[in-house]
Amino acid sequence: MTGLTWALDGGFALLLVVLVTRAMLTRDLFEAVVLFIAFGLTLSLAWVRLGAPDVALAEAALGAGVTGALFLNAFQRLARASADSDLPHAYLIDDEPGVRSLRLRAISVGTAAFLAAAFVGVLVGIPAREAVLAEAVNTSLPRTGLSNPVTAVLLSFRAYDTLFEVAVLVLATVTVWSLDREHTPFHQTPGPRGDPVLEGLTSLVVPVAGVTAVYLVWAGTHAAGGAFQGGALLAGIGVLLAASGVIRPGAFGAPVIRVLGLMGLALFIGVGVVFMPWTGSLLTYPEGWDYAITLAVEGTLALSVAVILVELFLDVPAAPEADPRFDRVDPTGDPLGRKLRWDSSRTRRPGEDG
Amino acid sequence: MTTVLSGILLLGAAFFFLAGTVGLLRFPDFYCRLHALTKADNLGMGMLVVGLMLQTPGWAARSQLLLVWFLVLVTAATVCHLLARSALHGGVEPLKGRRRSR
Repeated sequence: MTGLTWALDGGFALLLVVLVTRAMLTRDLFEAVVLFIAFGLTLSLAWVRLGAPDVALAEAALGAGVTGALFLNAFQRLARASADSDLPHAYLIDDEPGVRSLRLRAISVGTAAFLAAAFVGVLVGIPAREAVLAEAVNTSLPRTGLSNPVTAVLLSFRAYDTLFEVAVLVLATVTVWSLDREHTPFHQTPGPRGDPVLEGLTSLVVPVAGVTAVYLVWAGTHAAGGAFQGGALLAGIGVLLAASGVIRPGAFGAPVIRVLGLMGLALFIGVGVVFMPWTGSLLTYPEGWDYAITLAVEGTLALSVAVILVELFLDVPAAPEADPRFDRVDPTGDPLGRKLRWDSSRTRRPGEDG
Repeated sequence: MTTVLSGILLLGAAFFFLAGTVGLLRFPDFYCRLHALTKADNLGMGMLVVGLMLQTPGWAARSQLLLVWFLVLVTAATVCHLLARSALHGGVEPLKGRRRSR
């Protein structure tokens, strides 16, 4: 039996390495996205094998699900943008052959090797303290009124970490909001046509998923679950409703969306500050209040996370119009400055008759 | 007895998942591949759930498994329909006649 277990875990570990290597080395952006989603799902199974259902839930819902959907969305827009214009197809990445590319590869391989070595060195150097930490958590757990140690760490003992995580998410959304949204196709064309089958699925799945999301948030106090897992499920509901045309982008005014999106962070900071005169430090709650505060913060956070994720999914700005002054320069702007493959068979060159 | 039956069902499930994957890799066009994947996986999923239900104590957990099966069934059918529709509208031609051997 141990042999089988070893084979299973070894298989997962090997599969993870293979998937991530292929995802990084492939030149087809679509393939990379699909491999990334497969990687996320495999990683989630690996977390289950490691006995961390909380992380597994978050990885499956956020790492594979939501991030994968965002990547697919971005890919589709890239493909559409390059099909509509004279630009090269942005979804095929091709390195410029020659010295520069070789040097670039050498630098990235060297940096990755150095970071990996440093990481292993740090891991080896850590004294075995996890037993001490786990005991500290377990002895302080009754004081909080929570029975899930993971939630107690995330929202009570180390609430700072979670607060900053939420702040990063809000920052990303504010960045999207501040981008030019005039060219967003969603605002120009009406929503997708209704599909009776999709509508049927929506009316069936949305109630079930809604109940599950509420359960996940509440379960966070005593079992695997929490704001991010519940929020991701709520976001899935939102995306499904938008895809089936039940809600249209812009159905709710910007102020409503903004208040809902910022509510979680605001409440988190609020309860962190409001008890300061009594407890003396930020994010410290008075004795016996942890359970109520955690549930309130998690519930609000779940709603905010859901609104933010749906916003990110529906409202990503499209690529800007090609600027004639920068002939053939890719407007989507590969951050690494790599040349994009020029597929002359599928693009019109300026000056040529179409 | 229950263990043997459950084992047979689980092995059957593995066979159908494998068959679906082989179909996905080997079938000639988009629609055939979609068919192979969703149909075979649905049957595999059903056998998997029944096989696991035999091993699970308590009706609460069993009905949860049943609910999972139902949701996956409905979702897979819808996704299959959406993919096929989107491909048809996007101009993916179904293969007609015999495939020329290479």
